[in-house]
Amino acid sequence: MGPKLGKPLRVKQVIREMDEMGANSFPLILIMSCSLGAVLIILFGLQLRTFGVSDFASSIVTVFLIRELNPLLTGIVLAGRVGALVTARLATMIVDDEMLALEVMAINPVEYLILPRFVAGVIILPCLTLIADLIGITVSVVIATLVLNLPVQMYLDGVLSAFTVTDVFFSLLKSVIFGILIILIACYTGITASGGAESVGRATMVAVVSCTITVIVADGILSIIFYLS
Amino acid sequence: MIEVTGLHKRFGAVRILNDLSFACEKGQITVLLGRSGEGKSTLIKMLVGAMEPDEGEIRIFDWIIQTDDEKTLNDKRRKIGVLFQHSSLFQNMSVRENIALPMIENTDLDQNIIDIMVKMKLDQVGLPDFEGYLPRQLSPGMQKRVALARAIALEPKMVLYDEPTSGLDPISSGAITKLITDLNQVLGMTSVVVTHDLGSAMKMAHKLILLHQGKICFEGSPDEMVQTKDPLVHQFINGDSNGPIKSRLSRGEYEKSLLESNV
Repeated sequence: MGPKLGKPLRVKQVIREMDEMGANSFPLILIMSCSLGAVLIILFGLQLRTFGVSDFASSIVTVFLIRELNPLLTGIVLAGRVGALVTARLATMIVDDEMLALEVMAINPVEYLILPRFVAGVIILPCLTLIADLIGITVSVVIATLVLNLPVQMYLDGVLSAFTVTDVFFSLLKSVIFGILIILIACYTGITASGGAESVGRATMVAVVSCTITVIVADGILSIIFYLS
Repeated sequence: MIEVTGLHKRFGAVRILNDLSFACEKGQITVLLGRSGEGKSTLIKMLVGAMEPDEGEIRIFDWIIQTDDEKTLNDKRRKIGVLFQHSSLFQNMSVRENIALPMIENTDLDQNIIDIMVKMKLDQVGLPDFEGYLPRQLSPGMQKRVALARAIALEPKMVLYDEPTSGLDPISSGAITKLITDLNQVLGMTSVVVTHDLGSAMKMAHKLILLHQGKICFEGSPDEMVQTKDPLVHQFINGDSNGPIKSRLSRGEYEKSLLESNV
């Protein structure tokens, strides 16, 4: 049997991981962004109405969602969902000697297990953030029109005026950085697990807590850098 | 074929292997016996370069297995199959995907050829038509067979078996023992088997090596093992709780045994 001449492109694995991370996280993102869009527009719409400037609600909600809340909360949701998934899977592989099996089959565990997850995580988090933006703004439009009786055209004009490419870029950049941090922490915690089944649970708990705290702290630092720059 | 010379391994204060030297002949089955914690599984890891010894050298097919170069090590590993104690099958992959994995990753074979080879390997281990199953849908004995099919997927020159019959009922254990013997005879693979199962060891071994306190206390054929007058070997064969190997140690005796193994 001849040796392989080059490393395979692990596109299939990346897609499988994206499906697992993205598809399974989507219901949470849907609930979160619907709730956020609805709560924010009611909160700002009613508060601003008392000052007679409720037409500003649309731009404030849009900026809030795109710049801050959606990247942060999508990051936190994925820190829990993906952080736990990746760590538990890798830690189980360590405990069951599956990682060792890969090594002795001359398969590099980093290339085979970690790289596809890293690529999938970096792609899927900005995608989910964009979806969350879309859902959040759509829900806010519907609630503003049906509950607060704001004119649709006026609301949409406000959304478009607040919507800037720079904000979207920063939002996606944040998501990419969160994705990198979550996957690196989850993979590291997973592959450094040792011991029996108990260590899988412990590693998963450590990963979820570490990923969540890291996302929150990173969000603060990145927001300050973005605003100051 | 395999030459282990002056191997030492220590985990913290405990010395697991103490100047261990032995050789395994090409095409033969060498069985390593010993109590739990005698470093048998550690030795398997060292034989595939997954763990470094503190001192000593391992030569397989005239290569020194310890190397810092991953590519060289992987070239060697492709010639060695390993059956792990807990099968270590990838639980999210089907039987077919598990067996195909080393071929997909290490060869340029066409997918159709790989599919045919997977069927051949499954036939060899007596599990035809099980390609679509997930490992968790199979019995432990069947999982061992699938793991063995994966271990021989790249047609290695040597197969290492870590406790191949542990956790199996006597019939499954006998079937695995026969399979190891058959693969050795049909494919001419050199085999190193680590086990506690004296019955299966006696059936399959060309050479038996008994480890005690990190050293070899017996090396020879199954007949020689039965005929030896060594009380330690006799105790191991008969499974006596009384004898030179103590089954129960007080804390003081345990600490003393650790110190003695460190001499």
